[in-house]
Amino acid sequence: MNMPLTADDVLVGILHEIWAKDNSVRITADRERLHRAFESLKADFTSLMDEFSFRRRETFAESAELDQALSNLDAAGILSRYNMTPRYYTVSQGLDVCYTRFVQQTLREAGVAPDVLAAAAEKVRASIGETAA
Amino acid sequence: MSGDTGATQNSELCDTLRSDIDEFAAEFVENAAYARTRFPKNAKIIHDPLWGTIRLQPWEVALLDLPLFQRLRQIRQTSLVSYVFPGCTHSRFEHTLGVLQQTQRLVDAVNGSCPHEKQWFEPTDVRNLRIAALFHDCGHSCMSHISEHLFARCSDLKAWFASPDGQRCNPHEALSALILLSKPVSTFLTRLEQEYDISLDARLAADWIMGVTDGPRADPKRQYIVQVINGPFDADKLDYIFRDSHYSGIPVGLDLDRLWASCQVKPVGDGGPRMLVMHQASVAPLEQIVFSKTNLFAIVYQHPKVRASECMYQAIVESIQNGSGEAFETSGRKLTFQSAVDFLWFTDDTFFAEALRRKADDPIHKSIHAVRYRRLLVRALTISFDTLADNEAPDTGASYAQLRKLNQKGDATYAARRDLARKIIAEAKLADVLNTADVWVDIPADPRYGEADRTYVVAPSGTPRKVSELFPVHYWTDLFAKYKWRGHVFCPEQHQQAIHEAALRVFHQVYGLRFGRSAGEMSHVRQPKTTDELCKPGPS
Repeated sequence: MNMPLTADDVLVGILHEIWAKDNSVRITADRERLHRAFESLKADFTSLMDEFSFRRRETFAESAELDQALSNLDAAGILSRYNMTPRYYTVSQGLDVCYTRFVQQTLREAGVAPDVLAAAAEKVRASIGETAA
Repeated sequence: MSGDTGATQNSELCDTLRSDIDEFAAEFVENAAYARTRFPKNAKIIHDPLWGTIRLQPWEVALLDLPLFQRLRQIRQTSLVSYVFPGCTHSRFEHTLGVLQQTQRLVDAVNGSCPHEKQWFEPTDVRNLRIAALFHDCGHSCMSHISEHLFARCSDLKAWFASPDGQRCNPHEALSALILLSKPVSTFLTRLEQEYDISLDARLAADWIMGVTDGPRADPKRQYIVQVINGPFDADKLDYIFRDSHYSGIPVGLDLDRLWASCQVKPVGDGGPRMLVMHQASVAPLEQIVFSKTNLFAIVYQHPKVRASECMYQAIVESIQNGSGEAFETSGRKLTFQSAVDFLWFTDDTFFAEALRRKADDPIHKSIHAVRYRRLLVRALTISFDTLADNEAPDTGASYAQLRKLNQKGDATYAARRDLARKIIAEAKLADVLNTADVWVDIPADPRYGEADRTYVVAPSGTPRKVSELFPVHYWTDLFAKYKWRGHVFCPEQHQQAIHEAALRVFHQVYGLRFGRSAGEMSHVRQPKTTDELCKPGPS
């Protein structure tokens, strides 16, 4: 099995849910907001968030897995922070391809129900999503 | 397994871990064969090539004199980096002294910046911080961080992390803290307290080593104390960046004088914790820390030869863990690396010496000597954004993300990488010649750059702001991840061409990935191929 479930897949799944509802949405690049938002999912979605661990640091808890997932998706061109005021990620078409070709099946095989993913996305949408002006 | 059974088993594993650490500490702290007849009476000065004179209190000399710390002389700070950068032979021992010095300098800088009657760091804080600095790396073993990745997977340490006592910290920090809290060390510290009429708080020092900022003993108002040992610009970072740069010969620019001159303690947020902050005019040293880390990772730590040698070391340890190789032996103990503490018994020297104990035809003997004499695996494929064919296409990005995610830590991603290696060997039709110890799919993790979000600078108005708000350091880190990061397939030199072609096919079969000729050219493959030359177009 060369495609184990990782934090990357959960992140792609959640972002896809947000993006599918509004593909003009931008994802905040504010690291504190992102980590706080995903930490808030830990309590209510324990199985979904099993791939994420959080470590309390100076003012907020951080997840090494979330950092790595964001870095991986950025390196693959699926997310990008190249903008004049780099406060947000733009999402490329690659997110949909990634989700459709790989992540959807990985999540299904890991037992992640679509309604669970949708609920998690809904919970963090307001915290991490920004509509383009 | 029921919850109760699991909890019981975890508890037993934790107990075993603690008793193993007590046994280890007894050997390196209480062994009568190495006991001194008396404690030092005077302070001592040690000269360091980077920081000049380092002054130690007599009880610190007594600690440093223990075999527990003397063994750090035989553990290289950067493990096998010296195979590429020959100057990198500096040890964890020197680094420990350097951290002690940086700890004192940070403390002196902060205390010197405040009114004479108010010292942010009181004498007891300083004494315990220095104890934490001394012990912070005693949980390292042979090959430093390479072993750390391996013993992080041991069931006893995993059980401890899952236990109520477990903290979210690096594995070596956990072992260092547990050693500090062990019975032999506690007994020795009590003797020091009596001898020198001082009080030492090992529990507090252990918490600082692990970076604990909450919990029963933490004081949120004094979070700045933890940051000296475990923070965004802590003493550890300030030493290793300079030390690794100095000995590798890779220059980094880091204005430490400026950093110390502007370091202060301020509350962050209304009623928030007091933290180490910088004056806004002195944010440059903080940016330099991030930039220096980026450079060191790209040039030194993740050099392909360094990664190849790390894979070979990993193969040796795994062959012992899975029983295909005879157990290692030291101090009359047979060790199979099933327990995290097994690693602590070895330094770099004793690891290499293990080969001498075995016959020349023993596979472990050959493997150890292959590492020792730099007969390293070679690259068969370079995996990066720029070696991909059609790298701007959404399909390519999606496939690349699936491969790159194997750099997440954990058993599942590790198993996936090993499975890819098996597939490559099978595709190359070399299964009767090679085994998985010979071929590695190396997908390195990215260095973490949380410092910019965890460090605050104070504007002239007194408002604290994050460094990341003032300067988007993430541009550097994103560029590293995209253009400097490299994954590889490693293999024995004589099978490079076959493995190169097999890897191209396997990555296409599994992920639909297509590589250009540069993937082989960058690996110095004699006849570099492209995926399109070997495979039919389109993913399977």
